[in-house]
Amino acid sequence: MSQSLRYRALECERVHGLARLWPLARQEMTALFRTKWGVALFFFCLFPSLGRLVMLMIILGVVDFGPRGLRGRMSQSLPDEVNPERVTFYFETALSTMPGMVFFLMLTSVVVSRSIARDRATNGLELYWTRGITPWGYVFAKWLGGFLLTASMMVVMPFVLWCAAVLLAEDWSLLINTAGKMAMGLLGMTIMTAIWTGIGTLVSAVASTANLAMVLWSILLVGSSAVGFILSKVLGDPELKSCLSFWDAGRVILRDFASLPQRMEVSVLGAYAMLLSVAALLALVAWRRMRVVEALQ
Amino acid sequence: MSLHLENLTIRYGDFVAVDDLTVTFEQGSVGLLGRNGAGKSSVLKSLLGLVKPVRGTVKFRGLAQGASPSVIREHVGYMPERDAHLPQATAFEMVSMLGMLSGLPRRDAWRRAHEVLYLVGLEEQRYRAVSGYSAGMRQKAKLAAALVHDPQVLFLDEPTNGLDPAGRTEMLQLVRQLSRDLGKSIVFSTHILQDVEAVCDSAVVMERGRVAAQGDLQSLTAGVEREYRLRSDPASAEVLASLQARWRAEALKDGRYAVWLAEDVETNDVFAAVRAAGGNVRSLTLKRRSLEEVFLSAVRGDGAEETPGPDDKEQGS
Repeated sequence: MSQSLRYRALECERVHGLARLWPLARQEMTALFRTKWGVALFFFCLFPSLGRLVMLMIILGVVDFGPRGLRGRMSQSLPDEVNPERVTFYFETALSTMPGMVFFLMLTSVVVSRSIARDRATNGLELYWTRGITPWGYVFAKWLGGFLLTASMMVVMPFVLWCAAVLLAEDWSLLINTAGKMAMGLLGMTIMTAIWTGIGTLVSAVASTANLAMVLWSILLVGSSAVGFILSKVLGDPELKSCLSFWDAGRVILRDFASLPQRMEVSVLGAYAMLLSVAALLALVAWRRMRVVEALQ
Repeated sequence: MSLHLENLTIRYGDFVAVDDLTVTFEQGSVGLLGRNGAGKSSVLKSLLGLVKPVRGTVKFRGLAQGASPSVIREHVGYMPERDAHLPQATAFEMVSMLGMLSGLPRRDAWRRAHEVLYLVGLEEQRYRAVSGYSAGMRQKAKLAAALVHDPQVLFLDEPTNGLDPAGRTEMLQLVRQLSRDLGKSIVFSTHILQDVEAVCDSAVVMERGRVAAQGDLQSLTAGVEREYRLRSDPASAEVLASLQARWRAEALKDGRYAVWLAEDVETNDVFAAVRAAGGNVRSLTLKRRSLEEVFLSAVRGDGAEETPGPDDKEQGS
């Protein structure tokens, strides 16, 4: 079987820390692109941003529709959501419930929420944890991979959109007027994506199967939005939505972070409290589920 | 590299999995024998630094005292008992990834992955997904993963599980080569005694978290008798008397006899003894090997001993 044992002793300097975890994060980040369906899903999730790019080109006159020109019609009293002069324009696609949350859910339920549960199903955890990494190092690497992929949709695309707007604009006023808020918005978006994917990764660490993790993640995201919406209507308290809806809490925090106008009466503190409570609770359960002994039983 | 466990006690809640265990795994290949729940896996986990003992120490000769679990795992290769692989990954991807997680730079991990997959005989299949492998190929992939970071010590947990006879022979041959030709120290946990006899130089028998017997195979089996089943034609009292005059023997049903022979006794002597009593040997089969006797006597008292049952024994004999 082994033919002749052409075995050479290994002589190399070992790497440590993040350099050791990076291959795992990279593997997680690129896992979606291993199948044609994964590639299709990723580009499908970019559609809203691409649509917004087309809108931007119409508004800025790069593309001109109709006999009288669409630009002329659109440039008159544009609302913030479709006005490139406002930072909201660039984040609206990512932050809106439709299509933002739907595409976010599609991407993260396939990538983030399945990441650890999938390894558990194939006993991969036993292989990982008998290496020179800790369980929390493993969770971190899994989160990092999922975060980077999700950030390419949530953070990179708004940035690309803004860069396109700056380059297509007639002068540098758009850059000067929006740069500061845009930087804060991108930072806020990065933080929110990190928190959302972090919670998604913890859901994966808690669930026993990959499908269960997907369902739990969807319930958390969509279910909490539905509950928040219904209760805020029934009780007549709009603030409740930002305190109960997982998605809305993130939106509120981002808008607050980037000093963007809130759409309704919201509780920023309640949004923080809700997200941190969910994260803490999941981390506690994950801490028990991710014990080494549990993986090796 | 040798390993020494001293006064090791491992508890899971109130359950004592390993009880004040003191044992040394010397260089070479050591069989870790024991029934299910005897504490074998707990010992392996503590050696890997995955389970913290409530008492006692684990010392790796060649490593600094108190080395962290991740440092220990860099010098140890572990092949789990259960089927384990990385989702969607090919054997090459799995082995190289686990190499990188053991601290190998990417280029070295790739080179090593190719080498160890060639070593275990998966060179043609290395770009296929492990999930599509047969049981034997998966075992080989796990062994390659255990070897990728060139550990001095290998812990193999039931490496022949689920293998067909040919696959089992190949696996045992490879393990033997790793130990004898490449100088790897191997702790071979199993409950298949023949595997230990085929591969190991010494054995540790565990029972209820304690060492029931240990030593090199020769000294363990010295003086231990092998049990044979003998069928004679005719089955007469003279044949039984002739056997009993030389060795320990019992009459069973249908003209069969149970005969216990020492290691140095040749089976030709049995033929001669039966012929001397006017009988002919129709069959003579090994019922139980000497290591099996050692194992059973070590765990005796727990209903594990297998002796000729009441319906196996001849009435009135």
